[in-house]
Amino acid sequence: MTLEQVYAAIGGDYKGVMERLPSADFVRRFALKFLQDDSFPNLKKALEEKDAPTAFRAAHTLKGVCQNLGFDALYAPSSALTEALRGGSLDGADELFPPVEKEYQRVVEALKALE
Amino acid sequence: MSELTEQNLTRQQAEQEMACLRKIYASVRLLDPKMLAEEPCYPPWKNVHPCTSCVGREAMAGKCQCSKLETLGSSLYQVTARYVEVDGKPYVMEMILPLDASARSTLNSNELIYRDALTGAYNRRFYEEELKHKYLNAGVAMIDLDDFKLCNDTYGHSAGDAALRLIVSIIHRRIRSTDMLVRYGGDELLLILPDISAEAFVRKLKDINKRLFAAHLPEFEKMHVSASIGGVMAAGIPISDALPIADKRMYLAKHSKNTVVTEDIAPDAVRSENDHRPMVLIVDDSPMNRDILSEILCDDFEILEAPNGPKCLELLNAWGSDISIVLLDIVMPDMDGFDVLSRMSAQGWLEDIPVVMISSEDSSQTVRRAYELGASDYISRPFDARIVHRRVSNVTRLYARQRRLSALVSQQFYDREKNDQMMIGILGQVMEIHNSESIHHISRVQRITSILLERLCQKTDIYGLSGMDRYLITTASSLHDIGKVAIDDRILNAHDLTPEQTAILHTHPILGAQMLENLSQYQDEPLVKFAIQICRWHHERWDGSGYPDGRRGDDIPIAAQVVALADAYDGLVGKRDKHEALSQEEAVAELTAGKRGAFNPLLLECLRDVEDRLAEETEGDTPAPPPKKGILFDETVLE
Repeated sequence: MTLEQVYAAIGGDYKGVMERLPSADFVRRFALKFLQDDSFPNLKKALEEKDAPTAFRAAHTLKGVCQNLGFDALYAPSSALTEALRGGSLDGADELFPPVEKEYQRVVEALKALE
Repeated sequence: MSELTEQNLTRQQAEQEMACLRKIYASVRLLDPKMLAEEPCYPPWKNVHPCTSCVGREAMAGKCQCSKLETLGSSLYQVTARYVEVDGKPYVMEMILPLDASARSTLNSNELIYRDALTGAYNRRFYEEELKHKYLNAGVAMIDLDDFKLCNDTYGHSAGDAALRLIVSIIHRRIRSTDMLVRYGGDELLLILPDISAEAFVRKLKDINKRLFAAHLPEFEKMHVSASIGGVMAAGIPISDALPIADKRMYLAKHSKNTVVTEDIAPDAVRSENDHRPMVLIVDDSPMNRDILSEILCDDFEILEAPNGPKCLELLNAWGSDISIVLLDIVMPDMDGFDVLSRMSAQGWLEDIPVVMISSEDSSQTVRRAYELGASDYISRPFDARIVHRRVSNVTRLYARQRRLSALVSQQFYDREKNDQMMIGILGQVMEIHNSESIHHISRVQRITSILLERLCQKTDIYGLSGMDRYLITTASSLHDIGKVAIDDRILNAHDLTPEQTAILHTHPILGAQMLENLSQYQDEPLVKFAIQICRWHHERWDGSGYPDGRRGDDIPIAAQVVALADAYDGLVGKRDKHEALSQEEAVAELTAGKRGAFNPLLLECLRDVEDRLAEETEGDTPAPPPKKGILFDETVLE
C-alpha cells in the first residue's frame, strides 16, 4: 500500500497531515514510528491494573499523537476515552476502550502493509 | 598657474565673493587644508569619477590658481581652484563651471537628486530610475546593518546617522570609482561592483565586513557596528533580478550577524564560523512527540530533550539561560507542565527563558491558565510544522533582543554609577586634605544612607520615596559636608573650639546649601534639591535642638534626617583614632538613647533592624561594590 492508501484504509486525514507536516517522507517516517509508540500498550496495561491516572495520561498521549499524524478515526475514540478518564475515575472505560483497540489494530495492520 | 594679488580676505569678503561667483559657477566651495588632505573631491565625482589630478591640492601647495577640465559622464566641466587666505588662514576656493547645457543640467539636477543627503551614497531613486533595469556583469551585494534600530533607540538618531555616514565612508574608501553604493532603505545598502571576478567580489565583501566591524565612532565608544552581507554575481540578468537573491543571502547572514554569504548554502552552514544556534529544550513524556518537534526545529536550533518535569528543571539548572526557549507539554506524570511553569516562575527563569506550551488540551480555561502562569505562547495540536517553527523563532528572537538591550542598559547604568563613584572619590580626597575626617567617611555615609532608606521604604510609605528618589538621596548624601571647604581648616582640625569658633563651624550647613543654590542652572534638578536639603539640615535634630534652623520632627526633610543619622553613626564608629571609635553596638545604643541628639524614632528602628548589614558594610574601608541588580532594574531609574 502507498501512504495515501494507508491513510484511506485507517480513516486518516491524508490531505491535512501533508499540509501540516514538512514532507511526505516526514509523515511516512513518523507514521511508521507509531508502531513503536508505547502509549497504546501503556493504556491497555493501566486499564487492566485499574490505574486511572496512568490510563488518562496514556490515552491523552495517544490522542495527541493521533492528532499530529492525522489518524482521525483512532483520534475520535481516544479522545472520548481521555475525557472519561480525566476525573480519575474508570467509569465508562469498559465501553469506551474497545473502539480504541479496534481502531488501533486497524492502524497497526495498515502500517505493516505500508511499502 | 598665475600669481594672485587679492589673496587676503576677511570671512565676510570671502562669503560675498562666493555669493557673486555662484551666479556664474554651478558650485563654489571653500576648502581648508584638512578637507583637501582627506577628501577634496566634489561629492558627485567622489565615487563616480575621482580625479587623477587635484587642482585644489596644487593650488594650496603653490599658493596660486589652477584650472583643469574634467568629465562626468559625457559632460564637460571646468574646475578652477584658487588659493586664498581668509582671516589669515589658508584655503582654496573651488569653482566648477559646466561647459555645456547637458553638463549644467546633470550637475544641478541629476547628481543632486540621485544623492542621499545624509550619507552621500546614491539614493533609492537612482536605483529605481537608473540601475534596476540595467544588465551589468557585476557583483551585487545587499548590506544590512545589524541591530541598527536598537542602536537608534539606545543612542539616539544622531548616533544612528553618524554610524550610517561612517559606514558609507568606509565602504566608499574600499571600492572603485566605477562601483556604485546605493542607500536602498533606512539601514540597507546596495553595492554594485561591475566587471569584477567572483573571487575578487567575495574577497571585497569580506574585507568590507571586516573593516565595518573594526570601525568605531569616537563619540559613541560603546557602539559597535557590524553588518550582514549577502552577495550574488549577476550576469545576463537585470540588477532587479539579482537583488532578491542578494537579499535572501543577506537574511541568511543575519542569522549569525557580522557575516558574508555569497553562495546558496543551507541556513545551518552559515553558522559554521560563529555558531550560536539557539538552544531549545523540548519537554514531553511521549518520545514520539519529542521526535516530531525535534525534527521540525533541528535545522535552526540545538535540541535538548527532557521526558518529564524534574529532568526539565535539572537541565535548566545545568544550562541556565544558555537555553533560549522551552517547549512544554502539559499532561505528564509526577510533575505536570503547570507545575514546571510555576517552579520556573518562582525561580525567576521566566524573565530570561520563554516557555511555549504545546498540548492537545484546548479548553480556553487551560490556555488561560498557561498564560497566567507566565507562558509566552500556546500551541494546540494538531499543529502546522511551519507555524511551530515560526512561532518558536519569533519568541526566541524577541527574548534575545531583550537580553541584548538589558545588557546594554546595565552597562550604561554601570558606567554612570562608576562616574558618580569617581566624583565622590575625588570629593573625598579634597575633604580629607581639608579636615581630619577619614577619606572613607563620605562613601560610608553614602552606603549607610542607602541601607537606611531601603529599610525605611520597607517599613512605611508615608514619605512617598520612589526608587529614583532613593538613588538620588544616596548620591546627594556624599555632598553633606561640602560647606566645610569654606571653613578655616584650623577650626576644622582643632580639638577644643572657642564659642566663636564653634559658631563659625556651625555655619557649614548654610555655606554648603548656598554653594548649591549658586548653581543656578541646576536648581530644578532633583539631585540638587535633595543635596540642598541634606547640606542645610543634616545637623538638625528631631527635637529641634540641632542647627542651623532648629527645625523639628518631619519639618526636617526626610533626606536630611536619614543622612544626619548615617553621619552621626559613622562619626561614632568610624573615628580615625581607633581608641576613640565605638563598637557598632555601643554606637547604636548611644544613638538610641539620644546621647547624640534626638532622631526620628522610626529611623532609629531602621538602624537597629539593619545592624547586621551595617556590620558588613562598615568593616574595613573597602570601596563601594558595583550597583546591585535590584536598583538596576528599578523601573523608576530606567524612566
